Amino acid sequence: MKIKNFIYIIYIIGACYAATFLRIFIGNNFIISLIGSFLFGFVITKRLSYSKKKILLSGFISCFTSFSGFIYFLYKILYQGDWIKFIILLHLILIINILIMYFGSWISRKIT
Amino acid sequence: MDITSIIFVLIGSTFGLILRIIIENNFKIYFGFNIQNTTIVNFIASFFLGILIALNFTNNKTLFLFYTGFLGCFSTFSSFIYQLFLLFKKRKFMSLFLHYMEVIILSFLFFFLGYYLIQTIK
Repeated sequence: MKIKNFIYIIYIIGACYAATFLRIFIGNNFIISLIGSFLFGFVITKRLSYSKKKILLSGFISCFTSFSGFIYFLYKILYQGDWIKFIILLHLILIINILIMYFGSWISRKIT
Repeated sequence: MDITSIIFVLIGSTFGLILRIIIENNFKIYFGFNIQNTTIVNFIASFFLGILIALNFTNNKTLFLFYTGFLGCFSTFSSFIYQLFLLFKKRKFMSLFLHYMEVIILSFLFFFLGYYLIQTIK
């Protein structure tokens, strides 16, 4: 293994730890997903090198947002038997997240 | 948070990260509809979540190890939103709607598969 690859793996693991503790610190799943989508849109339209993009996207943001937390949140609503609230929240969360990601990529295009 | 739960979170997140990167880079599965690697990761994560909820942990440390550490780093919500965003940018609204529905329905199917698997064994 080369030295450069080793440093790259250490960066990814460090970003993952930082993201995990930030997620525990914030605690609210919806706010986490909003921040994550905004940052994802912001980073993906910026011109960065491949390894920097990989560290930020695959290391930091993917560990920051969690799909299982989203499913668990929906399951808790479904468990109470509230079908209408379940369907409304599901669509609302996804649509808001797509729009926030679009907003992030728009801001990043305006700045650079 | 005490020191042991921090160590548990670190162990779980390391395993989740490494497993996700291996699956993202190495697996290429094509069956029926077009399915991405991160979507497979999310399906597996929801299967594990179903098992975890059916086991009904009251111990806080196991929850930290598996739910916050392992599953939190293993599954990604933002990559799923990114695939929807790409379809939104290309103005393919029909395939956006289909992808959206199939990911939600299949992940809930996997979730309840894991859930009832443990319920029947118990």
